[in-house]
Order: sequence, then structure tokens, then C-alpha cells
Amino acid sequence: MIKKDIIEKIEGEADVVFTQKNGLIEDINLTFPYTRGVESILEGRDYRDALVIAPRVCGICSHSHLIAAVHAIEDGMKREKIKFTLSDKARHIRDFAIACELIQNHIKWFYLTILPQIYKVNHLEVPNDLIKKASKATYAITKAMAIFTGQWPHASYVVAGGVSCDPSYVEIMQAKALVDEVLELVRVSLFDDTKEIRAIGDLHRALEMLQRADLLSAPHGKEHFLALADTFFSKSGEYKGAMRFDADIKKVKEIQREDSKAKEALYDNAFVEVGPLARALINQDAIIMRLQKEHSGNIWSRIFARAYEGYVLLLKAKEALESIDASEPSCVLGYNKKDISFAGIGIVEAARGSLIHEVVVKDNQIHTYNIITPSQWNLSRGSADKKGVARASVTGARSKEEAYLILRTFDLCSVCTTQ
Amino acid sequence: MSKPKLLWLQSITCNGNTHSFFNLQNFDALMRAFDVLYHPLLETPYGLEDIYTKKLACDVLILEGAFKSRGYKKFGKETYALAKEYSKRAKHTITMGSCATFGGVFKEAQEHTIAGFCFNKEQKRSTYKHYINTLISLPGCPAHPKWLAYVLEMILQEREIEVDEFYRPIEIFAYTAHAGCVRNEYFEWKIDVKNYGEKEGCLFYENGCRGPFTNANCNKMLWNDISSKTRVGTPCFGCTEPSFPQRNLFFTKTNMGIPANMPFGIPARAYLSVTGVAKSFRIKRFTQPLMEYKK
Repeated sequence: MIKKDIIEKIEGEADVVFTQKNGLIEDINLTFPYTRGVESILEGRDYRDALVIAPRVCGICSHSHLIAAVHAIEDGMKREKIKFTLSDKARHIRDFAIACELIQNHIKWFYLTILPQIYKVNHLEVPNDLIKKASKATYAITKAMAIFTGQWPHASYVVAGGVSCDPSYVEIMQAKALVDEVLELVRVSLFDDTKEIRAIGDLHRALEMLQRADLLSAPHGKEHFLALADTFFSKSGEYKGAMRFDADIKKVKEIQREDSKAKEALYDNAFVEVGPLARALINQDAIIMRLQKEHSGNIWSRIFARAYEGYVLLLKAKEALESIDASEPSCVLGYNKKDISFAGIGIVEAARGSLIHEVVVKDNQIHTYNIITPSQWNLSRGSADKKGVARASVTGARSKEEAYLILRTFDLCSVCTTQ
Repeated sequence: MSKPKLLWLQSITCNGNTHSFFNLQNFDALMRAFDVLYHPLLETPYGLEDIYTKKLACDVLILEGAFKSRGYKKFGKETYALAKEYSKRAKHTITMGSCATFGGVFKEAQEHTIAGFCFNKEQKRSTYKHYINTLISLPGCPAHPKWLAYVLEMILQEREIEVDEFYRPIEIFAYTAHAGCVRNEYFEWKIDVKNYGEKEGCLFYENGCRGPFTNANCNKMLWNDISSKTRVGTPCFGCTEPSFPQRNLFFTKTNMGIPANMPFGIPARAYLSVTGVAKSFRIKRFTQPLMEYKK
């Protein structure tokens, strides 16, 4: 039986076609009928315009696109022997903002995307306090970020060689208080960290409901993970067959399907999972490794890993703030007025996984721009005998709602996919 | 009394306005004052299919994203046509963000086929007259959360909202983004910023800041209740204006060394006279760092 549907509230929507056999989901096909053409908008512009246009790819992860764009520009400049080292201050400020945006993403995903779907799978009414919880934490963490970025979303405070802001300790103090506020919310509603990390409150409730819906036993994943960027909170690598390997950007390939506007991304000719679970396993995080052993590649380890990454990032955000030396320079490169040409690649770990921006600049003008987003990895369709990650994960799901829950654990981002 | 029915309809968008509005401190409380039929993030009684295939009654229509007359369909229906149908029935139509208002960033990819709901950049669209009686424009990339909160509060209180020629509320858009900028002293004395990442200097002369000729209260109301682009050394890119996004965003366009765009309403002659006077003085305080740390 073939059923058509639309999966919505996934940062946009996607068209879905299900194939069902004996009451189970046999296959699923997600297509994106429209693309906005951000890459073509960038082409022909001054390369610095990318710092304004690229964030507009996505409302929820605009900062990741900003950082990917600046990394691509800085990488290109370094290849052209423009020598510079970011000040520690600029690095800590960027890291702090990266942490804040990821935390914001993780919070919204947990309270607005995953938890409501878990209630639905259990045929329970979605409680009406979830929005308030998401809102309170989001408000505080985006405010903390905006102290340095000016605003969120769609900030452009990062420039080649540093950041445009120059905070004093007065600003840093305010940001710290806001991070503490979010940490307190997390300690009440998600994690008890007094002895060892333990799911409590809403996170524990999610686990109970997954158990009740018998969703802990089936494997929902491909066991092949990738993180391409080395960051202040995670290392790059490939994780396959419980072994960790070094990652190599040269193994990345992108293909265009005829019937969908979304491009597919492969690593070493394989479909791989990216995102917080991938990062945790590649970093050999003891808590997540143990969880993965208990519930091989399933949705609970993906949910727990993401919530846990949010908690870890709150601690990292505080560390970054405490490390800022206000007397250091914010930006080590001056304005570049001479024409330059370069080609560069920027890689970041965005909330949903590895994000790549590739730019070729000729005489200050963007010649080509290419973006590979996290959802392209997880959502690649593949073929019947080599299924993409999300597609393989829903095979065997017992209902549409269950399939949507599994899909939502990857936190699909339709707007990124259709850049 | 029943709550006003609110429908949030998206077209070609990045979701930036949805997320911007979610930053509102009292988001939950304000949303509870409405019967929310559909919203891109929240659990709602209707799904997209209902919105596209049923003719639901709605009082407040919020539009996000740019419109393509043909070629952006869902459930076999053009989103632009759907938006027009709802707008005709709604008591208020709010275009949230520059895409929905003027066309914005995504218009750049398909200049001739993508536009805002009632405006194509600064031009009125042919259908414009059917919707103006209920239209409120909130341009911005994204629009500030409190701009929408203000409009919704006014609707709840059944107050009239005064608007300008682009149907932007004057209580917000009568200001320029320049008003309240902490770099204003440097603007007055014509001292530009020497490099990125410095507290001192104005971004208007070299760095492309469009604050003095951009309608918005960003430096009065502040973003995320705490900051703004210019407060963190980023130029204002004029994201609330119909012309957004310009090219060469980090550079000031000049003619013979004079900024090509004057602050709103200032004749070039007046600007040059004041500049000449200001530049003839060397104010020592402005040649020094605002503060210095003894290592």
C-alpha cells in the first residue's frame, strides 16, 4: 500500500510517500519540491556579502552558516598565504555563540519536536507547558548570545580574522548570569548532575513513554557515524563497527536526484549519520558509549545524546566566557581593499551535524558557492539496496506516527535541505 | 468573548521570523490570548492540509516568506493564491519580515517572479489595493519580536495602528536604526572606525552602515532585549528597507569621497557643511581608546 503525506513543522515541510506491507512501514521517500537558490544568490557578490546572506539559509541555525562562511573565507585566505592567528578572545566569543545556538536548537527540538511526538505515539495529550519551558530557556540563551552577536537570528558579527564586537567584562557578566539561568532550568527539568549524569523530569518522562510504546528494543540507525569538524566541544572522525577512524573531507561526495531539489551527501560512498549522537560516539563519550551498548543505535540514544550535548555545551559556554580576556584584540586582520582570489572550505558542527560551505573567489567576487547541510547527510535517500540513514531507520515502523517520531529524532531541517 | 483566530502562513522562507518571534519573553502568554489555528513550531488544532484545503475563518493572518505567483504549491494549491484568499477574509494581515513585505533575500534568486505580498521592493503590486485596508507591514530580516507583539497587543485592545506609506507602524518605523546607536558621538564628529572589533568610531563612512537612512527602532528597542548590530560593531545592512539586500554590504558607497546615501532628509549641502565644520576640529578624546586595560 502506498500512502502520500506531508511531514510538517520540521523547519518547513517535506513530501512523504510511505510503502506499507503487513501493517509495517516498508519504505519511505522524502522529497523537497522547492529550492530557494541561496548558492546562486551568493555568486557574483563580494565575498564578504556571504557573511550577511549565508545566515539567511536557515532561521534556526543561522549562526552555524555564518561560521561556516567565515571559515571558508579564512581557509581560502590562509591558502593564499595571508597569515593570521585568531586571538583567543575572538575564538572564545565565536565558541560561546556556537554553543548558545546549539543549546537553543537542542532545547526547541526536545520540547517542540520530540516530546510532543512521543506523547502522540503514546496517544496522550501533549501537555500545554512545553512551549513555556522551551520559550524561557530560548529567551535566555539567545539573549546571552546577542550580547556578542548583536542579535539572533541572522547576526553578521564575525569577520575574517575575528569578530566585530569588543565586549567588556560588564557584558561578559550579563552573559554568564543568563547561562546560569538556563543551566538551572536544565537541572530542574532534564538532568541531575549532582553525582553522575542522570535523566530526570521531562527527559526521564520521555524514556518512560518510549518504553511504554515499546520503542526501545528495535534498532533505528545505521551504526555509521561522521563528524567532519574539530571544534571546542568535539573532535572529527568516522565511527563504524564500534571503531573510530580519522575523517577526511576528500571522501565527501554530493549527488543531485532528478525528482527532488535536495542534494544527497555521501561519505566514502556510504550514507552516514551526523549530529550529536555521531559526535558523542566519535568522541568516545563514556555515558553515550554505554547507552549505545544497551540500546544499539536507537532513538533513545539519539535523544539522550542530543539533550546531553546541550547540557555539556552549557558548561562549555561558561568556560568560554570565563576565558575571555577583554584586553586582547577582537580582530587581527584589517580591512582588505585589494582584490584577492582564493578557494576555501569551511566546516562546522551545527546542531544537526556537519555543515560545509565551499567558496571560490576571483578578484573579491564569489565565483562559486556550495553548501552541504546536516540534513542532507541524514536524509539522503540512496537506493533500495543502499538506503539512506533516516530512510533505513524507519523501515519496520508500526505506524505513521512512529515513523515520524524516528524521523524527528534526526531533527530534519527542510529549509537547510532546500537552500 | 472568544479569542481572535490567528493563522501563521509561510511561503518561501528561512523560518527566521518564526524563530525571531519565539525570542519574545512573553511568547507563551501572548499566544494564549489567541486561538492559534496554525503555527510553524507549535502544536495546533489544524495541519497544513486543513489550511490549504478548508476555508477556515481567521481574524489575524501572519504571512512569512516571499511569494511566487506560480510554482510554489502545496496540496495542489499555490501558496500565494491561498494567502490572498485568507487575507480577503481576515480582519488583519501582517507581513512579518522583509520577504513577505518586499520580497527580501530570496527575491534575489528569481527577481522577476518573486515578490512580497503587496509590494515588489518599493513598487505596489497590482493586487495591492485589495488588501491595504487590513495590512500591517513589519519588514526586517528578521522582524523584531516586539514589533509583532506590539501589533498583536494593539489588535487585542482594538486600537488603531498608525502606518506610513509602506503600511509600517509609525510607532516603530518613524525612527532610524541610527537613533540610539552608542557610536553616535563618532558620527557627529565624523570619525570612522579604524578596524573591526573596536568600540570607537562610526561605521557609516567606510563600513557600509545604513543606520541613518533605515527605518527601524533597533537601537531603541534593542535585539534580544540587549543589543543591536551597531552595538557589536556590525554595520546596519538596512534589512527593513525595500532595497534589502544591497550588494557590497560591508562598504559605504561613495561619490567623490562623499557617502552616496545621505541620512534621511538631510540635503547633501547641509551634510557637507556640518562635516566640514566637524572635521576642522581635532577632539582629543575621540583620538583615544574609550577604555584601556592595564595588563
